[in-house]
Amino acid sequence: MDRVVIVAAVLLIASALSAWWRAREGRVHHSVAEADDRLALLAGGRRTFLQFTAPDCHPCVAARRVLDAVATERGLRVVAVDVGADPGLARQHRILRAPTTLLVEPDGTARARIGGVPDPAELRELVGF
Amino acid sequence: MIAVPPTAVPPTPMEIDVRGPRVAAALTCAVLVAAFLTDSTMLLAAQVAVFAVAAFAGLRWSPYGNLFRLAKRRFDLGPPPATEPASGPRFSQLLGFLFSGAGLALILAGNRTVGWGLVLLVVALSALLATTGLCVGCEIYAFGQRWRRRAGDREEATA
Repeated sequence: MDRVVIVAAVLLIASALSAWWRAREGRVHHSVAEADDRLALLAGGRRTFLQFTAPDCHPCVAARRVLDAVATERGLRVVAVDVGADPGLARQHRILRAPTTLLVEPDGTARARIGGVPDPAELRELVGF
Repeated sequence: MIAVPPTAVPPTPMEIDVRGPRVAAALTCAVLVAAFLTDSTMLLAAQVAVFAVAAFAGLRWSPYGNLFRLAKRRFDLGPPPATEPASGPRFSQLLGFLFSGAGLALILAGNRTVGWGLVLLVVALSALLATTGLCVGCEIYAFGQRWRRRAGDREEATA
């Protein structure tokens, strides 16, 4: 009986972690940051989804599909940065995992951050019309 | 000239159906839970062997992977919704082998609490992968790859 209780507790903890992960994944987190010259350069004068990627990152491919679809609809750019190739930029913006996407304004301000595969509806609401 | 219709391109050998690791994780979770509930080191040893085959011989030889491929054909589960590189999931199998293997060794040596504790950790992570698709081993692998690349770049810069 003790063992059943232990297994139930372990699976309950795993379920809680699972629920927490699902709640966080792909959600938009709004941020207020100062304009950054490097981000402005990458944005090239347009509103841009800046996606931090990595090799062998399967969710990065799924995230890119969502970003491309919304960017095409709303006239944004999508720029990918390999976290391994530019670790300084990743560290500066506290990028802990791939994929992480920043919504960057033309002046280089990072307006929002999304970890994982973005939720298309939330992304559309974020960029507006 | 005869027009040849395009055919579906199967995943390359280094790419796997994204559903596969989740199915394997669900089976792993079930086997390890059964081993713990019945206090069966034989069942635990069998799971350790499954991890070893997948980790060292490759996912193509994974018993659970082969069961999944059989089920796909038998029940016509359709083409993969997406594929992913095999390297991350294969590294996860290695971690599973190390943790569950260490657990088995500790149990056989008499330290049952820590031994089964390690096994239950694998249960929790397998349950997480099965339900959410989050592969902690894959994340560790990706982090390790990035760290290696940075170390390599630093070496080149100082050479």
